[in-house]
Formats: sequence, structure tokens, C-alpha cells
Amino acid sequence: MSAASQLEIRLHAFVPLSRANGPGPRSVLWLQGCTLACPECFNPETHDRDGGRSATVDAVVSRIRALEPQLEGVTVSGGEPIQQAEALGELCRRIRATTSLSILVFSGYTLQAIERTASGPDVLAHIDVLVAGRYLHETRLGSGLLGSSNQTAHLLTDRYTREEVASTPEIEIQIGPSGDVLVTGMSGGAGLIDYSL
Amino acid sequence: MSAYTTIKTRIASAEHLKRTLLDMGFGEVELHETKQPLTGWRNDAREQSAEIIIRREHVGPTSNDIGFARDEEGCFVALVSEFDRARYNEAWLQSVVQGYAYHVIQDKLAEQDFSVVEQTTDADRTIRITLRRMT
Repeated sequence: MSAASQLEIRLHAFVPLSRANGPGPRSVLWLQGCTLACPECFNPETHDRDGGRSATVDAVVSRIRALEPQLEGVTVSGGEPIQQAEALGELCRRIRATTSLSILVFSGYTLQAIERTASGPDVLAHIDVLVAGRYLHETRLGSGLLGSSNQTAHLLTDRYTREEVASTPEIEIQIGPSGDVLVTGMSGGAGLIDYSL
Repeated sequence: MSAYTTIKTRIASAEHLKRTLLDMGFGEVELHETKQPLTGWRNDAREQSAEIIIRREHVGPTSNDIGFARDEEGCFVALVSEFDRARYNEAWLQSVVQGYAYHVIQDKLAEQDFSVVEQTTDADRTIRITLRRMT
């Protein structure tokens, strides 16, 4: 077994199927750990790098491959995915090599900043869409996969058009069989998720 | 980043709970300001009381009343007799909680600037609602 396949990645959450995190039905990983501390971040509970749980890249790839028939792609959110760039690069490389799924990554860093990191270029080489830039609450947008208007959706392959990316629904609400609710998408701060059920 | 928010549903709104139970097919659901006694299948008064009551004639031919009583934290707790738990069991209670969450969310959405793109139900009964901002 190669050392790369045993690389560990720190996860906050995994949602097997979502329709509000990029074009079409997608599995979504929220990675754990972020030091950017953007004010009013959607997911403050993902910041602690010691939170969440670890999984091998191998295990994550296996889970995604089992879901492939239902999926159009995989989305990686956070936390800050680029702060786990080595494991993320390996994850994306393996998904690219073993499936036909598209890959979309959210990052608080700009494309140029990611290109300057050690493992960032390896991530960029294996993904289709990068939504890049810090979340600036004062320019909140919450649509077209952009949390704020300073962010940019970079199409790194010709898999999607800009319109396809922008037409992603803003929110998905999942009400589980026992009544527990999951809200995902670009809705953070909109007040919709401030339920008192 | 895209948001990831989980919410543990607790039943706090009597009106939404009543609507949920009516949706589930009970012919009549009583809603009281204060706790009222439940009645047993022999028309006997039971020890329990509740603010929301489904009278036994709407539950089953030999059933007792089903109640939902507010606890100290203001949330409703189901009161189902041992006899009726064969049918109105944990799975049924989960359906009540899911239906309640659905009703509350529908009302929240109606207050806000979103339109429903799609609503589907998975094989495991998970309800998915995708939304788009209208402006």
C-alpha cells in the first residue's frame, strides 16, 4: 500500500448527496481546520484544526466511488481545503483517476495565492472549478456559489460553463426521517437557517 | 465556503404540531391552553394530561387518547399508552417530528425571498427541498 493512499485528511462533515453545492447532484466534503477567521464565516465550527475527525484519503475515495452512479461530481468546502493541500491534492488526483466525477473546490485563498503554495498547484491540476477568495461579509452575495462579490469562480477545465456554475440553487434543506434538518449551500447569514424548530 | 448547518428538531409550536397530526390523517386534534386529562378506552380518566389531544375514537377502536404535553423547557413530549405503542411507536414519532419540521420550514420559507426549485423524497424518507433566491 502506498504512503500516499494512507494520507489522512481532516473532515468536518460528509454529505453523500446535495444539489446546492455545484452543478448537479454532488457529494460534499467539509474539511476541518481554517486559520483565515473571516468575520461572519458560515461555518465557524470548522475552524478548529483539532475538531472533526480524520479519515484516510483511501477511505474517502472508496466512499465516493460507491456513490458515483448517483453523482455528477464532488465538492470540497471547509474549513480551508488548501490548508490540507497535500492530502487534498491526492484526493483529487485519485477521484480524477478512478471516476468520471467533476471536482469543485471552495477556498478562501485567491488562485494566485494557491499557485504559490507547495501543494496548491497539484490541487489545481486535478479540479474543474475553484471558487476562490475570502468571505467578506460587507459584500455578501450568497448566490451563484459566491459567498461575497469579491470571490471568483475559476473554470479550470471546459467541463462547465459559467452559466452552469452560476445556476446552482442557493440552498438545499434536507429533513431526515427522524426530523433532523440539514441546511447547505450559499445561505449562510441570510437568516433562513436561523430556525427555531 | 458553502454553509453546513444541522438543526435538531424539537417540537415547540402547538399550532404546527396540530397541523402535522391532521396531515397524518387524524380526524380531529384538540389544542388546549392548559393540560387536560387523557381518557382511556373504557372511558376512564387516565393519570396523564396534555395540551394537545387526539381522542381515542380517532386513534383506534380499542385505543386510548394520545397526548402531547409540554415539558419544563416548553417542548412537546408524546404520551402514548402501552397498548397503542404497537402502532404509534418510535417510527411513528419520528414521522411526527419530520412532518412538524416540514411544516415549520414551509412557513419560514413563505416569509422569505426564496422559491422552491425542487422537492423530492428519498427512499429513506429524507425530504429534499432546493431553493433559489427570487431577487
